[in-house]
Amino acid sequence: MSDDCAEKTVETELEIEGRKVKVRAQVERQLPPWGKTTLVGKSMRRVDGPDKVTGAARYTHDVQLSGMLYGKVLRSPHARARVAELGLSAAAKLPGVLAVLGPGDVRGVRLGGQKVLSAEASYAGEEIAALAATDEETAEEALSLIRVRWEPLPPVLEPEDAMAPGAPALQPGGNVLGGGFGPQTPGKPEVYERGDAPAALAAAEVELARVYETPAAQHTCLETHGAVAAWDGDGLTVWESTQGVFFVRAALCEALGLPASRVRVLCPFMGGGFGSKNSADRHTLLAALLARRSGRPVRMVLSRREDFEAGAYRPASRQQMAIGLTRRGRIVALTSRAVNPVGAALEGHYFGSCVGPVHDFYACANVRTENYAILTSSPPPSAFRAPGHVQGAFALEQLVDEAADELGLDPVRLRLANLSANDPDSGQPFASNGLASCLRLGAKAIGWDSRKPPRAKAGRFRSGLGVAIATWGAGGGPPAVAQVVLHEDGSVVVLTGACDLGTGTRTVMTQIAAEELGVAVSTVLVANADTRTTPYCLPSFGSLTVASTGPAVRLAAAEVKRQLLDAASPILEAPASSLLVMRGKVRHAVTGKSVAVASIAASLPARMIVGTSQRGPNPDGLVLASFSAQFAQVEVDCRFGTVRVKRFVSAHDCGRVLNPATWSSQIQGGVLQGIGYALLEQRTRDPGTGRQLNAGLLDYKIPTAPDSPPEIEVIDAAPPYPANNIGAKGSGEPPIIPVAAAIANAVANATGRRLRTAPITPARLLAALSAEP
Amino acid sequence: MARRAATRSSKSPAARHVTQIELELNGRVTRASVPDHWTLLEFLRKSAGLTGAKEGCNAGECGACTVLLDGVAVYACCVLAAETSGRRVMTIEGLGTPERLDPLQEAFLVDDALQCGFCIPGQILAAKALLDAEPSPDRECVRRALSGNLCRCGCYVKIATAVLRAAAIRREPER
Ligand code: FES
Ligand code: FES
Repeated sequence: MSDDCAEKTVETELEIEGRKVKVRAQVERQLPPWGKTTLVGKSMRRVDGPDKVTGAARYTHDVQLSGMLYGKVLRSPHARARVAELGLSAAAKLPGVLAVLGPGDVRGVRLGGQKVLSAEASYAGEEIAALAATDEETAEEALSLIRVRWEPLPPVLEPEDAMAPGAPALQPGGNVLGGGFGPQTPGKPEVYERGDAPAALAAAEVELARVYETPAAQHTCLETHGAVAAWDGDGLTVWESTQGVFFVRAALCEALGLPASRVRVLCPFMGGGFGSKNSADRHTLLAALLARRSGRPVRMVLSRREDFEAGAYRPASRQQMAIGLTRRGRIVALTSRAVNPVGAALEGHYFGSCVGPVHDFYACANVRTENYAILTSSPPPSAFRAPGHVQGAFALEQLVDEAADELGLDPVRLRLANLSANDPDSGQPFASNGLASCLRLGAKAIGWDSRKPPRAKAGRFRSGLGVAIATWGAGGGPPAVAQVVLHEDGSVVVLTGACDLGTGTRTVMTQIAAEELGVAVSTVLVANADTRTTPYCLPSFGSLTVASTGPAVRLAAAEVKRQLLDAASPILEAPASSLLVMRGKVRHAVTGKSVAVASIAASLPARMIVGTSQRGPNPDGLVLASFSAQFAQVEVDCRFGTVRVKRFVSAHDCGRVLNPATWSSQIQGGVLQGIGYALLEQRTRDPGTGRQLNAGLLDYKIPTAPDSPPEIEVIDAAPPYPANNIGAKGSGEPPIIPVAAAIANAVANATGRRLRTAPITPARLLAALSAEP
Repeated sequence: MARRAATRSSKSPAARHVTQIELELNGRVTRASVPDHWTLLEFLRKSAGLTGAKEGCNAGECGACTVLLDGVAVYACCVLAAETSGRRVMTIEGLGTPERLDPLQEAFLVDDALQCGFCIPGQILAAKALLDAEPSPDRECVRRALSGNLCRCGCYVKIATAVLRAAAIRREPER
């Protein structure tokens, strides 16, 4: 590293998906904040847009290698069963089948501590055997030739059954675990406490207790999970539809005992992740193992049904909440007891903590939460865009609205009155906090002042307004390394390990590098997400890519600029400090004498300039969070029980917006997923067998174009953010967090009825409308 | 025209039936022999080397595989390749190139009507079929016409804006 501070490292804190972790960071060179920018902050077109609109973009699904085989997996049809006998020989003998694997063939292979093929199924859809054949039909036919003698065991499907005395233990420690970010100590809940919530609740002037329920919701990436694996001697290359090539590589190296230098993972384009593609999955390992056994490349792409049945999901929740307030609307106590059924989750599975919002959203001195994770005979869940917070906000943000109704207070005012100047959990100040502006600007945009109480409404179609808020740790941090290379002709390559999930990572990194270097964006190419050629970073998760990799790219570009000016100094016969780069030329600030960047690079002995830098530490003592306030206007059809979102306003503080076009796309996308969660999406399973009933896109409904409001207004309400050199925080997850609560609150405002269970289906809404108020 | 149902051999792949087809694919006469049970999507992706049409479900539920068959938007996963003999098929690769974009492709870029991009070839071709049939749709009409094309990244608002923009560009007299 050419950094002046190369030797100094410090400990710093980084928040990933609501969980704070300590990491070491190299102290970075301080760059002054940008003054007026010419590229950053502009709605530049996506650099990979032309490839995407012409079909030239190659996704993992599109990788075709010569001699490539098609891999398929035999999955358990039973939610809980033992394989008594497995006959693979007929399948292996079918012409065209080149490799077959059963649990016995992969005994030593572990992915995150778990087997990749199992003779004991703990959910319907679990991988039992795998094979590869010259074409898909042969592979499917071979699957049908595998003979299995099953010993089915009674499944444990509902959390109540799992918690009942005498329930079969699904894991040695029992079925009841502490919840939180992943499974915790067996037998006890994860407890969080500040102040004395039970006493404060008992003493509160007003107390409300309510129960909220949320469904298991599935990521439903349009590109299903998949990998293509090819061996070259003892080296392995894997294309994976992933959010993080380095996590995939680490999993492969660990499972197969390979050095990192021999495993290359690439993800040039990927069709959606949303938290479900953070690392390698069993299909990845199976593709690599089948490829090794057959000596041919293997494509292992999940069918839509497999993607649903064995795939990840946001766990359901049941949240028993209570709130205590003063008559004037100050929140004095909050409690939650949450139960999350988490299927066959084991240590290492991560699904987020649904009690987070209770800790984070409001200034409240007395908080107590108890969080349980309950094992069931269902696949393990995973992170899903703002894991935990989406469920938690659905509950808390309705509870706060119910309290406002009870007290006869305006929900926006009640929220404004209870916002916290400092992080309510740690007591430390926020680096920046625009939540109050989000509320004010959003309220203005939706026309909050025209909101009428439900009793003022009648008739079949009733309109309502609702609000909800979010905070989310999104400051990013190390590790993230970036390299910027200036070539002899003046063209620039930015190397970063970050995957672009469609969020615009490539585009904003192009803007950052071009801005700092003073060159045209057309000269800059971002090459990313290839473990052989690009430097390390974390996966694109936790809303951290821009705030982690962005500052590293700026530093690397600044380093290239430093070397460039040093090289230009003798040519222009002026000290480097008097030079600047503008429009592809190094120019003397006063005399205007200039020389083209390309000719300087070409004159160097190395004929190139390389700058490598890494993300520095986050500032001590400051809490880094993004904020949002969202407003929904709905129209309820009281005859059919349907809800239309007519207008939606999404106001955010994510720090500096680097590209308003790609940013607002990401925000609108989060809102759409929130609308699906509020109104449409829920995994349903057969109560007898535990098999999923809606493992297809017609039955598991995600929003379509007509489900979207015609417009989604996106508002930037960010104050300046000083905590990194590009001034940006993350924005991937905040836009989904409050949506469902804002819609439920709007439905309550329209009808006077509370829908405390998501999704708000016509059946639930009609039942609520026909019940006594 | 071959209209046999897809048959699955119980023997080796070699024993499966194949049909000779001749179609106009992206403006070029193309001959191929395809297994009878192959869908148009399989033919495009596995044999014609055209991977712009995506497989999101293989069941007519997502629209990622949308192509134009004689100018009509169809799910390529629901059409047998053998059925396309003598017909015209256009995939996203036939609409425009990065150097010569179709107004729809251009409009999708201008309005940033894309994120991961996986659904986008299908969205654009569904939109083309709409504009070819109805040059002046309103927003509601666009939303309905594209309701068979899912976008999990949630680009619907901008997609409708882009389609309306493209419609306006297409209505302009020749420049
Ligand atoms: S792949 Fe054809 S509709 Fe989904
Ligand atoms: S852009 Fe990702 S699915 Fe539409």
